[in-house]
Amino acid sequence: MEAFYLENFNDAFGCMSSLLEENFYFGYKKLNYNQRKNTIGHKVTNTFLDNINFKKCPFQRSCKRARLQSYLFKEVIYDIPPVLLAEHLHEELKAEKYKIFFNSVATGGALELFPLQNKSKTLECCLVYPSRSAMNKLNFHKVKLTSCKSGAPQLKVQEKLALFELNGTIRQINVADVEDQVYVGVRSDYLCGAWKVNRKQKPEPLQTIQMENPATCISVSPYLPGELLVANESGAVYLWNLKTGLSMIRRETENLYFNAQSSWRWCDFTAHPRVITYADRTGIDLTDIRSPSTQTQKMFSIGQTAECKKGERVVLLKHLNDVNAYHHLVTSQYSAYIMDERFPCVPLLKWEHMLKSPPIFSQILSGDSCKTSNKILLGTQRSQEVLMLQYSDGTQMAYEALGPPLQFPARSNCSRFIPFLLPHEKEVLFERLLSPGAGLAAIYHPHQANVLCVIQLAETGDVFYQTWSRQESSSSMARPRGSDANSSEKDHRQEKEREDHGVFVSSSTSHGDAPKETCTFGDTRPINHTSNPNQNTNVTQRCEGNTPLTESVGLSKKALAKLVKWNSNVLQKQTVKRQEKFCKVKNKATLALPKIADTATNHSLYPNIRQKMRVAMEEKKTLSTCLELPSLEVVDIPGHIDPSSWKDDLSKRLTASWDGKWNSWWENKLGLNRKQKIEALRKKRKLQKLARGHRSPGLSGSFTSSVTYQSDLTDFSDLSGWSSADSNFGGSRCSSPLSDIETDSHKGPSTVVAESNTDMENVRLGEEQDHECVPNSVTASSVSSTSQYSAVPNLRQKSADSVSAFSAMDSLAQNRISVLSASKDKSSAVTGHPSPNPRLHSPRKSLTQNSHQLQKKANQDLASLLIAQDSTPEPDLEDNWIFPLASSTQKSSQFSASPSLLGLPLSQGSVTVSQPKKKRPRMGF
Amino acid sequence: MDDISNEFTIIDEGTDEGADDSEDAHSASSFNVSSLRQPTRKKTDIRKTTRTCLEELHGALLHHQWTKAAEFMQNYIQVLEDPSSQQKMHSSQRVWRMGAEILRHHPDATVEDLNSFYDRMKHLHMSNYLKVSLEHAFYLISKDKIEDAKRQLSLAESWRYGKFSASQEKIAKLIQAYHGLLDFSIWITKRNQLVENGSHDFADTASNQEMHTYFRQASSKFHEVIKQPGVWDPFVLCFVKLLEFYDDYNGAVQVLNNYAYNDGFPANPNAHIYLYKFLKKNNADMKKLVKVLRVLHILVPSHKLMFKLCSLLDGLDKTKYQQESLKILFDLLDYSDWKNNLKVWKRLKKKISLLIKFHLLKNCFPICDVTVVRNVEVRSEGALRSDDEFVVFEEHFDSEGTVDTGPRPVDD
Repeated sequence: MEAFYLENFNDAFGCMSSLLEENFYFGYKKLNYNQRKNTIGHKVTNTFLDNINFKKCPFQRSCKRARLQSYLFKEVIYDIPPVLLAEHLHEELKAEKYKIFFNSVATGGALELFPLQNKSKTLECCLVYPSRSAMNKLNFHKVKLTSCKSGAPQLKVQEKLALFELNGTIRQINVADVEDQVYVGVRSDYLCGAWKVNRKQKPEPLQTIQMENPATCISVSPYLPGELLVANESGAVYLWNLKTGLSMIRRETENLYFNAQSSWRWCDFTAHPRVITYADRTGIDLTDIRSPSTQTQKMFSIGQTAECKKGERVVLLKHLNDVNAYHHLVTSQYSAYIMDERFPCVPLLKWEHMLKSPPIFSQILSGDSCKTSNKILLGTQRSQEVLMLQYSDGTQMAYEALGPPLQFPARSNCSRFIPFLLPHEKEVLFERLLSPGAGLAAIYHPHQANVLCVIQLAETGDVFYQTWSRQESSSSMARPRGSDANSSEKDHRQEKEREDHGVFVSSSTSHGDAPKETCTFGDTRPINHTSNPNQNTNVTQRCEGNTPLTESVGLSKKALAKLVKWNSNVLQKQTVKRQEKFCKVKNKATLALPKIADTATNHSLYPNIRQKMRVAMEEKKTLSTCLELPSLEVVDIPGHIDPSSWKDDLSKRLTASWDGKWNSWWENKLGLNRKQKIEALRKKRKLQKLARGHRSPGLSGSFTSSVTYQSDLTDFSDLSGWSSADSNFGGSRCSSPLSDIETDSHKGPSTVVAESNTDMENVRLGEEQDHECVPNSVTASSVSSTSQYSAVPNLRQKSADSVSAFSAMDSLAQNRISVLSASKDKSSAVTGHPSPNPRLHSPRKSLTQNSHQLQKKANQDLASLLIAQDSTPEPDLEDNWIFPLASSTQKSSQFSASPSLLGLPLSQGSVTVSQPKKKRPRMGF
Repeated sequence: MDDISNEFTIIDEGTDEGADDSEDAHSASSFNVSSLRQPTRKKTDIRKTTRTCLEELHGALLHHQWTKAAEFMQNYIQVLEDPSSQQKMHSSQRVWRMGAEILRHHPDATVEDLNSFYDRMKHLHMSNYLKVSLEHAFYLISKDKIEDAKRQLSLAESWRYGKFSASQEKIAKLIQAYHGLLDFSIWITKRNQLVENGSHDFADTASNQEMHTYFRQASSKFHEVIKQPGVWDPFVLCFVKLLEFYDDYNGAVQVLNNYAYNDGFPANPNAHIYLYKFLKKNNADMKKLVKVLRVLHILVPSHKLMFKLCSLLDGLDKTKYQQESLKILFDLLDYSDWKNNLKVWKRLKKKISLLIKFHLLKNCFPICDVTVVRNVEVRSEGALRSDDEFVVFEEHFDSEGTVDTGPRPVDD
């Protein structure tokens, strides 16, 4: 809705603007005083419009008056109130949506073909079809069926007989042959027209009529010249005599047999010139023109004809004048019926056509002329299907359907014959080929009875044709099956005759497009959207045995050439369209490269190199040895930058962010993660206490280890994801050389402060490393109850490695490392396995630097943390003692634990003593 | 009964789902809605795959790729595992119809395959039993296995499963009728054998006895079926033939009269034609014949028997009938397939001249239509001028065989 008035401003503001027109002045002269009273110049208007805040930032500089007025007029300036407009728009969109699936307007089809000489077996036909993107040009085009000795006949396009431009989209074309003259009825939405084609002269227009309601049907009388029937959506059917004008025959405001809420009406002639059929979605009536009010008779109704399905509706009605004047073809979305008007409500034949969308185009081919079965072609709009049904002529025996329905390949199938298409071109082509159908026509070849030519019209104005020939060998497949009891009495002669009738099983397809001259037309003027290039084809392959149809259908060379040409035309038009759509900036000049080619060819070095390359290829050596290129200078790795030398906040922050820890740095800085840290600390302390509580000099190591193991288990419950295989890792860890170093370093003196630092640092580092340690395969500690802890061992390993390699470190760092390893041991989840993390495999030097760096940073952070913690209140030690391990974490929010002097010795003791204990069981593994 | 027997046996996929029906009923506000299958319907996975399979199967069937279709069918059969009962009914019907169609055209399929297939399909869903049986019988008849077909039909006739629904009742009637028809065909072959053998005494031998049992079976079935309102053309003809053979003239007339004039039956022009032909064959009274043809004239004014009616009326030789026959001729000439018939035009010419002679023509003119007047102008002149056309029309007329008996009304 918001965009409606932008796209359709004429509809939205049309009335208002015409009302206000006199009060606006669009000239450049100054207005005099009198005029200025009630007229506004366009400059004022323009500034006003500029300042109206539609589609602009509301905070933009704007004229206050304009804004106020835009608020004021919000509702008024619409011709239709927005709410009502929205309602209608919604309704319209809904209707449009259904139209995409099924558009009954096109019922009947806008394509007709009739022979140019009366009844004789002429090869020349006239094709009547609409063209242009609006489908408003009526073409009369001469075409000729030529027979090829080698392949299937082709449709040759000859001169255009006439071209008329109409004031509306052509929806339906109907043709009837009356007394050596062909009358053509053309229906568009509100206009209907009649043309006459004298076989020797050019087509001439006769009359047009305009209707108040959209016309739904036009049909030309095959009996009397200049008589047509027109039906429209008001439910009325008119007899349109070109001499006397319109006269209403019948009008039904409601549907015939039940309320189907449909305004679609249809009418056609019958065997009697004064009796017509009147149809809507619910059924068909016979109406006598001479006394329409009384003389009506039911011919077909959805409810009363046997085996009608629920929801079935009449889609198309056609008088089968060529086959039998008493017969009518009725199609619904499920079935096709042949009705005899003399025997109401009982269908003569019925097929279930299985088409995906309702068949609204049909063509009947009488078998009389060619001594074959009668054929009905049904065409659909959306799914482009063309289906052929066949039935016997009924002269000797009862009417009988022959063979199962046969579907012709859709015209979109020909896309697979076009070679080499880029994806976007393919898309364009498919879009074009998949456009809904608009008409269907077919004709037998007058000299070759077994050749059928099917012509299809697409909504885009393309005309395609396929020619089909019957393959005699496989006609036995299509032998009809008599299911009636009477069929047992069939004599043999009949059976054989029917075999000869056969079914079109062999296939030769050709995709054509009508007028030849428009083909060249399309070449010269590619913008013309509806130019109709032409493709022709014949059979390339005969089908083999029992796998007929589509697989074996091919295109001839000629047809393929035409198809490709048509395709290129379509694409060309598309590109033209696209260019119009998008602004094109030429960048050739600005981005031109220097002419490399010249220098390359002239340089003396190149032939030499080429030769060497050839030699290298022959000898299968590497290029570098052959080419003897000057060796590259080895550039030293840039020296290490030590960020710890920069003490200021900014540098630290930058360093942190460089490592991807910007976020945690800030958290640290602002003290947001203090609670977590404190909690972690408390946890650890609790563990220490626990360890101390279980410690007794007399007990064996195995006992204590089992206790710790239990404590580990409790922690596992928290840490589901990290619980894998730590014991194994622990075992292997023992055998690694690192363990010695650790124990050594552990034996070194450690102060209380250092110890407490370690704890804190442990936490800190864990946090810092948290997110990047997750993908590591290194397993987690068993002590840690939160994910922060889990990261610790990873880090520790790094530092441990570095220690083992480089013993010469500054004292601070060494101290820290030893502490780290101690804490790691205590947590008993140490891993000696190499990690897949690439950082661990990097050169030792950088690793040391890394660990060094980390330690330093950690130190700094710790310092800041300690300072911050000084201000925190003293922890309640009583609580610390009272609460057991499990509950302490829950209650942790109450405590703001800090490394107090009272607590620290205990923890230190626990650490120092517990380490060997933990190690022992591992040694025992 | 062509519409049933020749019906193409694959159902449309659009009608398959029960949900569709309810949807249709719900939103039948416009045709467009009801005809569409909603693309955004929730489906379970199995339904999705079977749906895709069905589409492929559908395409293969329409392109007559029977082997490919058979492969798809093998996979599609799993649709029967769908637990919902509504689905089950539709899918079993689909499997039956498509499977039968494939087997009939498949190059490797034999009669035994189809027989076993039909036997299985019968028990797939109870609502289909009678239909499948009937189709099976049709298939057997088309393969000239009358006895097997008869067995199938008698099995189906004796089948009971709860109460019949309305549509099942119809099928049951059809089964009965076709069973009778098979009896009749056996009867007629036996009769022909006897006729060939030259024995004219039908009461003696054991084979005659057998023939008579078939007669009794067939006639009782026909009698039962024809009581029901409907279009029973072939059955009525067979029944009349049976009765005729046993010289039950009155019974045959009664059957035909009932079939033509019973109000419960749908308007059936064929019934009147049969009645007329039977009466004519038995040399009935002319007034009776005229009476029958007058009714036919109301139903089908374009029938070729109308020409016969004209000559009958002329034979009555009253001015009243002369005018009526002129009207009939005019009606006949309105129709497109009669307007090129020279014989009718000549008859008309003769009639008009006769009426002019007696100054009776003015009473007839109001019935005359514009088209006929125009046709009189154009056709009669043109046709009478050329001798070639005359011959052509004459031949055409004779081939229709309408005036092969009775007095020649037009003297050339």
